[in-house]
Amino acid sequence: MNPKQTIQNTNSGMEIHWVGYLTVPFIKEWNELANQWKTEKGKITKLNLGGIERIDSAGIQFLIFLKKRSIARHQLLQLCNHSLPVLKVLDLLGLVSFFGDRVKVKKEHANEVEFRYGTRKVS
Amino acid sequence: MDLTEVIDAYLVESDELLRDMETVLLRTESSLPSDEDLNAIFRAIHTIKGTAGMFGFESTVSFAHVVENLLDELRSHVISFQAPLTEILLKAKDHLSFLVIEETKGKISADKISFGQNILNEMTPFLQGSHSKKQEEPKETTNANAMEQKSVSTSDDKFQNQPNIKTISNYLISFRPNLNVFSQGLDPISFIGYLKKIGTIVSLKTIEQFLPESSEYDPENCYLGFEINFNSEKELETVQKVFNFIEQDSFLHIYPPGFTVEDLVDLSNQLPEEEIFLGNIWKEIQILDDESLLLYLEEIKSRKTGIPVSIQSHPEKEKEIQNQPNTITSDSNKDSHKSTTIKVDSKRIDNLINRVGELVVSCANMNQQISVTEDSNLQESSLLVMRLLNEVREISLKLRMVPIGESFQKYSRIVRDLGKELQKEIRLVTEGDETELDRNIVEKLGDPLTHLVRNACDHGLESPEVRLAQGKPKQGTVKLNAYHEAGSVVIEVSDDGNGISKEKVWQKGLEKGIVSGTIPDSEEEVYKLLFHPGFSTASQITNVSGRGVGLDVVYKNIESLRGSISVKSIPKQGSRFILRLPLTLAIIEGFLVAVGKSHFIIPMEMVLECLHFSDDHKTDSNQFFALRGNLIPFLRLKDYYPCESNSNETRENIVIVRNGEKKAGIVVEKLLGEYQTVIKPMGSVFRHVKGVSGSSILGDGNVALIIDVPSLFERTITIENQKLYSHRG
Repeated sequence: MNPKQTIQNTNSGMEIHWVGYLTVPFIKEWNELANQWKTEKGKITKLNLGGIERIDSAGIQFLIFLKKRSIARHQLLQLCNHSLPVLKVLDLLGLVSFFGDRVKVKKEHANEVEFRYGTRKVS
Repeated sequence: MDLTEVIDAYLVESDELLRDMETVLLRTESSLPSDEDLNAIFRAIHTIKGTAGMFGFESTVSFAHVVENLLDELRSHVISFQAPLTEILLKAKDHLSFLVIEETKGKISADKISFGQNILNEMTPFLQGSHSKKQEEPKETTNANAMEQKSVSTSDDKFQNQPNIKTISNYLISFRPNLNVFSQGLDPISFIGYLKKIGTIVSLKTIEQFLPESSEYDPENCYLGFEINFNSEKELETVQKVFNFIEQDSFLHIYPPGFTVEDLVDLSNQLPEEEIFLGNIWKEIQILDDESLLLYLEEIKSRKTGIPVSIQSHPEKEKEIQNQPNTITSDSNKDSHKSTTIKVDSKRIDNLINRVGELVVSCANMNQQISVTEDSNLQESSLLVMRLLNEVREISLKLRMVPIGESFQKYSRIVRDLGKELQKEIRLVTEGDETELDRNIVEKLGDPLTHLVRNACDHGLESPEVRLAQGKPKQGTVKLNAYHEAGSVVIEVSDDGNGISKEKVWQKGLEKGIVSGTIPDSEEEVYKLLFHPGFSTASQITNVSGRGVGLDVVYKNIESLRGSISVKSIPKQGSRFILRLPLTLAIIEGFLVAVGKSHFIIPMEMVLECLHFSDDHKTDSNQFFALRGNLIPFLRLKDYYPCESNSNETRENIVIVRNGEKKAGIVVEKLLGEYQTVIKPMGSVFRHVKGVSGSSILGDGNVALIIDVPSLFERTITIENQKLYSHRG
């Protein structure tokens, strides 16, 4: 499913909404879309992942890349409204603490994720 | 990552480590090895074993493992070093060198494995305790790609002897998918996810530290790694099968339950991340607790410093060891040296030097163009560019310079082994180890030098009995000496043996029909016969030499390097083979001369002086030139090379050149001054043309031939000798 991106400016920065498959066949397109972001130092970029229907290793790696890039540029990237596929990968790879965002799990998905590790920053 | 590059690096590193090991072992013949020596050898074997394990080179790992056990007991002083161990460990080193190279090409044959086993069997009597029981039979692996776990821990493991250390009860899976895994249609997540079907992922850490910066990031490459604490009742084989399709070209290491902290240290050597970083990750995923993390860090420290953990817990002992010379201090020095050294692929350096060469030619061209203009600013700028370019050239040429001492080192072993084989006492003395020359020349010098050293040992040196009878010391000396002389490098291989009998050589020459007449006075004339194919004065053929094959090859090899070789010998006192070689093969400082429209370059380091060539200088013979009371043979370039001479060019000049201790004159028409030039090798068509070592493109596009002075010398000396003999006759 082809990537779609909508960008909304907010008081604190902007909110970006992604819809599609965050997987290796589309990863270059996602990369091009992310390069269109006009982020500013100190501003918050919210990335809404509610529309991500599939995600694979390339997809999660790309999110890690975006997070690291934002830190390097002194910007703030927040992932929000994680879809279930994204949550499952965050759970499996223990990446919740890496991104450091609040994660909401819907009731009907409670049995699908465990979050037994990778949820706390280790000193 | 291209695996061939990694394997090449493994071969280079292993070769260096094994050569260092050999050097240390050879020292043990005259004095007992220090703790630092034993630690250095242990580390070398341990590193090779670890890297070989990463590639799944089972035979290398199995063999190295037993050698490592022996060295571990030696460095821990469980057993003391005894003289026979030198021989056994040298054999082990040789076999390991063989395994390292051959296993990268394919499976090791059963007979070679059993040969290795025989060496290991020789070690058994020296091994103490459980190491002696634990000799693993070298296994033949059937899966070259398998990154199988190799439980290195032994039952006498120092950690297991400590009651507060428990072994780890879960699987540890270290997984670094290969860079191209996505393009191969494989998704690491799905493989990791499958683990849940055969057990429980207790904890998992995703390693993202190798994700590149924005500009270098390729979203289709995989940069992630995973450390997994996995609990399962299943067998190791079942866990391995999960990764069957993705392990190709990836790094996968699975420790089954029961591994120890020491195993983790072994693993950390194979992983790209820092040891401390990995320790913290393993603590985070509950593989290590605080106590075992501390032990892990201590073990890393002990391996780096060579101080066993047990000693580290005794500050007095540690202090005692630190006060010993050449222990930790030398290591830290080594580390600080390493930090300022980088390894660069020699092809890159060669490319750089070639480019600089092209730049030299282009700038020479530019200079020529600018010199005819009246623009002084432009001329000044071009001079500055030339000056800077000269500096760049000097620097880039130095990049390829290596000390000859590195290659001298390997002859210690050759001399030692030959001494045993020939039942002679031989010592090798090296001088001028720091003398630097082009790496390409050093590489090509290996065979000729080996041949000359073997000759010196076999033909040159007498047996101990004969030496004593002659009033010489029982032990013969073979000497390798290197030094710079007139822009060349001279390498001498000498011995204090019998010397070479001129008469015997000449007689052999007569028998073979190579020469005729009476023996000439010039020893050089006589000794030149030694380099004739099939020529040998050895009275008997040995395994080492005497078949008359080799010196002619040595001669050809040295010639191909634009070098020369000569022999000096004093009966009963020894002989000396003198190799003269150019410093570099790439760029030459030349002196540009012309005969008519043809240009020639004479290597600058051989030019002594230039004079106007007048009739006053000429002797009657017209082949000799009187210079300040000395007669110097000369030749005219126009006679020697076909070139169109300017008939109206009445003025001639003579360039006095030297090669070693001799002088000769080269008569030319025009002297055009110093010229820096890039040597272009002659095509194969001109391979046999004498007197030309290469060619060069001048700034104006014309071709200049580079004169091979040594071969010109040969010709002039021959003329001189013929002249003298005809006078005598």
